[in-house]
Amino acid sequence: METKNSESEYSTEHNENVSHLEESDDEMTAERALQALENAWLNEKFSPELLPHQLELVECMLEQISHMEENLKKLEKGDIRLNIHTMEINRIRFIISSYLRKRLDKIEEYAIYFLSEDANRSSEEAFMTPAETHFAREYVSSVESLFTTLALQHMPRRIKDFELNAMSSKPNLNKHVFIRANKATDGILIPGNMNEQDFKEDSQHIIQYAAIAHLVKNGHVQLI
Amino acid sequence: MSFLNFDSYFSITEILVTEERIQAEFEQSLPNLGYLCASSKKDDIAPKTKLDIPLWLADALCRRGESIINWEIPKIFKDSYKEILEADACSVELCKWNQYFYELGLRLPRTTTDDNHKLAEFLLEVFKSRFRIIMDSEQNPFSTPLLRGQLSTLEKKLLVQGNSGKLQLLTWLNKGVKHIETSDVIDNIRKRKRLVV
Amino acid sequence: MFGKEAIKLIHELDQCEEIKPFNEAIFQQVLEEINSLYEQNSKDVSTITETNTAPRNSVIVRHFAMNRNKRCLLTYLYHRLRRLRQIRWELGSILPSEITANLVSAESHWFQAYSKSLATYMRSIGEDGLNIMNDVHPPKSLYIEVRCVQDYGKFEFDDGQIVNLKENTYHLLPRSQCEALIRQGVLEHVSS
Repeated sequence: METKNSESEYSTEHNENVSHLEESDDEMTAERALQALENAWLNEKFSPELLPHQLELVECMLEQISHMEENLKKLEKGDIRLNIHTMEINRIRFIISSYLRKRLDKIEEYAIYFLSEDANRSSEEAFMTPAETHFAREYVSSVESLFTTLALQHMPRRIKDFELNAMSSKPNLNKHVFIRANKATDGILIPGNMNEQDFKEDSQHIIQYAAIAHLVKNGHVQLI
Repeated sequence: MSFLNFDSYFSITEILVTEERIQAEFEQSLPNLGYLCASSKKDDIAPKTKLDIPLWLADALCRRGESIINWEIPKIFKDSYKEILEADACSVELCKWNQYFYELGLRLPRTTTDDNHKLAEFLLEVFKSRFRIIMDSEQNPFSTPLLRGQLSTLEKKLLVQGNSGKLQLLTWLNKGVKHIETSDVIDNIRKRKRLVV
Repeated sequence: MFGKEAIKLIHELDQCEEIKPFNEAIFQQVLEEINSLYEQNSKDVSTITETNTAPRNSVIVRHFAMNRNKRCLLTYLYHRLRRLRQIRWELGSILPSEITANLVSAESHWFQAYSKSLATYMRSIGEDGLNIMNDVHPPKSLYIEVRCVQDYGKFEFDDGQIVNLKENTYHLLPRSQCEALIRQGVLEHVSS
């Protein structure tokens, strides 16, 4: 465990880095990228909704892994560094896979809803990556075609539609989550409650996701 | 509420809960649907006929806002039963009243009065007082073997989740290393094969 | 009452987590109920006049009943495919024959289409793709001890090393590469 202070400093900086990733790509150290990836992974794991994708970050870490693997080939068998680095590679790959799996899981569950949400965003602001969007579309159409073949086409005309609206379900944003404040933030409105709440830096809370959804996206709080 | 997952078109729980019967009285006649009343031999359902109909139908009819039916609140949500719960919620065998006790209460058709709201608050109170016994038994799964027979489906699910959460914590404390397991699917197939042999 | 057959399909889903043989008989009956409700409605609609509005009530009721039946049928299909999808995530793209035997052909087609979409997606990750179905648990050790449960034959690892997996032999193998074999029940993770 790192000490509390250095850790929180760290994550705030990162989140800024993530949002400006393209500009500051060169400056981003591997260590920081990994920390940012871990944060993104935890946020995605605990948030009920799909968060904006971190494609650049994932690609950056995958490149990192390839570099490491290249370097390892130069080492002789039995070199102690071989084991340590292989372990590290496995660890990073686990985080990336787990992160992407979690996203895919949500995308399948709420495919219709996320597709319609992304349809209102520009391609730069879309929450899903192009590959995820493609996957979601194929998923919905494969489900529709299964329904049609086995059921809908045998029904009378009046009810044989694949009703996108009825079948689309939304994530439950009122779910409670555990959070840590990266930054002091005041005046958080809690649904169904007149009082506002203030977060001190580094404080931890249990709170309805809807109240802090925007703070997760701008990096002021971290889901834990 | 995420436990109930009521929103979804494909929610198994929601479909099962809405299959529950509630008593309704038809205000208007329904031609050619007389066969729904087992006791009647007429072609039509006459006005003022009382009939137990599934909640999904009652709900859909109420939502239309036309007065085709009047429905009656199930007895388990009436005052006499409420008093029993208020006296000692923990000793009631809720699953015998209705295995979807909470869900049913929350899912009843909307009325114009604030009855729904009052009922929701009442259910919350019942749940809160019973939650304690569930929590206790999560920590000591063997101390209250009879408990399961008393719980509603929702409470049972919570209990199972609590137990498995506790188990996960123990495993984690003991080992830290995650054992890779054979997939359940394969396990079940094997078990069945053994049975056949 | 309407929907009596349809709810049986939902009970089947509720009682058992596995994919049971497709319940063709009940599924067909529900479709028939829908179609007969529709026919009765077409008849009743024609009798509605300005003075005789009562048939409209029956039409409404039957219409709800049709939608209820539809919802049950689609929910039945939906949960079966979600279970299939779970199997795809756990076992990979080859289904055990015990599962295939319980599917109708449209479901097998769906499974293939789904596997294909998933493969396309995974190929798109990074430069050379990433199998995100591996690495299901956080790694704690590079090598794990496994027992071979069934004869599998030769297995080649990433580094070119070949191991002969015979029943009841024990091996110390790289964790990342035997994960899938363990879930498929070829190997067994031995506790130390």
